[in-house]
Amino acid sequence: MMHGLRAPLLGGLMVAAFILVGCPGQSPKIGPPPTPRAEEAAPAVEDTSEPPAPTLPDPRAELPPIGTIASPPATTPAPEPASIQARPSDPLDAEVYSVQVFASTAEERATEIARQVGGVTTQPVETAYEDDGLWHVYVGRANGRESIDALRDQFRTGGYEQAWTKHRVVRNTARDATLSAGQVVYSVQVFASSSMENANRVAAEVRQRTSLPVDVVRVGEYVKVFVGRSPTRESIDAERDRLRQMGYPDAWTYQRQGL
Amino acid sequence: MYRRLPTIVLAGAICVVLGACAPPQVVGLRPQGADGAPIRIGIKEDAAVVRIESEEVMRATVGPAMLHGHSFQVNPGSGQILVTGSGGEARGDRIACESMKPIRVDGVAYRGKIEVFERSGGLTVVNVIGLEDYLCGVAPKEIGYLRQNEIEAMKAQVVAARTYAVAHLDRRDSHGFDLYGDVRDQVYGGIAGESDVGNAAVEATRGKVITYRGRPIEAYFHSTCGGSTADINDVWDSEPVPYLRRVYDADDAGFHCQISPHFRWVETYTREQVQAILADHLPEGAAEVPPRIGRVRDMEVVSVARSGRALSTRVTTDQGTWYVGKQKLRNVLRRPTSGAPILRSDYVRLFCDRGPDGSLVRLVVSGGGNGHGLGMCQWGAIGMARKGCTMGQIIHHYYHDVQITDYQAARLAQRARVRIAEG
Repeated sequence: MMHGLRAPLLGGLMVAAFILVGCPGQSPKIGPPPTPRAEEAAPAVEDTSEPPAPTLPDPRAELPPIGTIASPPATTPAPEPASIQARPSDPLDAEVYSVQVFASTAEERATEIARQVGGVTTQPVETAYEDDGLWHVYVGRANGRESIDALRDQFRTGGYEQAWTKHRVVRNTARDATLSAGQVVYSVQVFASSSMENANRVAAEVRQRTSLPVDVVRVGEYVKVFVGRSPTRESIDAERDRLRQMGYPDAWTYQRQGL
Repeated sequence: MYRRLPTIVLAGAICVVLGACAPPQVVGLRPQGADGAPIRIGIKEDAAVVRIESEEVMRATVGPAMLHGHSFQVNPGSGQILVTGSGGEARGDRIACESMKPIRVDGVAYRGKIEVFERSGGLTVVNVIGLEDYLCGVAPKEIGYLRQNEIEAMKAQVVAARTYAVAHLDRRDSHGFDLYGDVRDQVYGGIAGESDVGNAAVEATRGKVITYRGRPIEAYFHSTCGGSTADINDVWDSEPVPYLRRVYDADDAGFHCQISPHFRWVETYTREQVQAILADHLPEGAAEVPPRIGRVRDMEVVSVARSGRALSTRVTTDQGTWYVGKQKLRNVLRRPTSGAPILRSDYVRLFCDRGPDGSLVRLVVSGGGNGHGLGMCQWGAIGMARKGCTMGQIIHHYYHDVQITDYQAARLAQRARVRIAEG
């Protein structure tokens, strides 16, 4: 009797299991999002089992003194010279005027100063390693000297007494070993550093925010992060503007040439 | 013989049902996930035209018509889409494309199938893809392109992303898909979003989800906590959630996320910047703000959570006083840079510098972290991975009292509970 019942019993179990597990190979519709029920909610008491968050530092001692740049008098707002406001069309390998606010053999110090300066000006701030072996911090770019001199004076009044106008050649072209020989593309440079790790971090961040290809490329002393590859400049200029809007104010259009 | 008949009939019936349930196989496509669960990802909405291409001949179903070709263009019509291609043209409610090679939609390559249909006069494009393949295109876009020594962090990200997907599958039903392929749900980059480390992490965690009492959790994650994650009720006006409680994010070697570029940051506002930003954005975080807010006199965090995050921030002008609650501070006190992006976090200290007459001349924000601070800290996970922690250790560190469960097992447990509840 028991032997006779075993087969139907097994069959019934298989059906039950099938109903429970669902149809193999077919997509199960996955359950709705979990909304924690009231009885699951943690009691609303202050959690003292973990130490409190660390107290954030007061960074003001490291900031430049409050001056006309940090807080221009309301009656005499510091209008930026028109030629700066317009921002020239960023010609590649162009001769431009900028305000140099700092120079040092220490990249970290230059980066720190650039960060401080970036907090008190709307102008683009660049850190550049040059042939003199120094890291330079520049503010603004203009084709004419007059507007940059005015910007320089603002910085001097604001506490950057070493600020001076510098005539320099901006090389927005890069020889790029990652491209094939003869290949020429336009990209947006969003970051340059001597540190591969820092560049990789920034690249990872940018990749989360754009669907364009992001390349980390060593160019001379720098490790650069480039966004996008286009045979024409127009689309890259548009992407440069978009990246500036996204919080990368020092994004520049570069022409990359394969070796 | 007759006594065995019921068994034979039963077995035959099961075979018939199983056979009917098996999905059609398309040779050459990567296998769908182990659980075979297809997920529908909305990759475009309201498009005026869509171009679909593949290196191999695609098979496109448009209503009753079947088209074949390497490329199709889809335009919205009046209620029906118009599909044109080298293989002819057709009209219908939707087009469904399959190919043995990846399919490119406006130049971006995707695995799985592509569907396009018209909704509200524009075109919606959906990538129908196996859950595991989808995760390959999500994880690196969410946490970055990590190295091999950071794979445990990638695995934790994959499991969190899978849990999010599983928990929110019905979220966008009214749009005709399951999840958006962008920040509204999870950023999905298709094949271009994949990486070797990401793919390996998906494979190593296949089917795993995070559960609390047997159900998939709300697996929130963020970029950088700054040293302490947050209780959910410190961030949003929410009931406490037992697994989303604060974690002091450090060990003897220091804070896990101190490697993040956002671990500590400073924003400096001139008086004019504070004035302009608050005039534009104070209504986003406070009630009954008049058109002219008056001259800003002071800004102070008056209530702080143990996670360091601002619970209430008081804004005082010569026209009144307003209080900004919790995360809304990020929308109100936007960054003084082009585009005015939101503040990186509400884990902040505010310093008001004053002139000789006592007026506000500068606001300095000392901040920590990036993001809402709930659940897993991505940079913290990377830091833990570099220190040798496993995926399980990372997940249990950031989510309290949870289990890492096979997805199918979680689903079975959920079904069983439903049956018990239904009597």
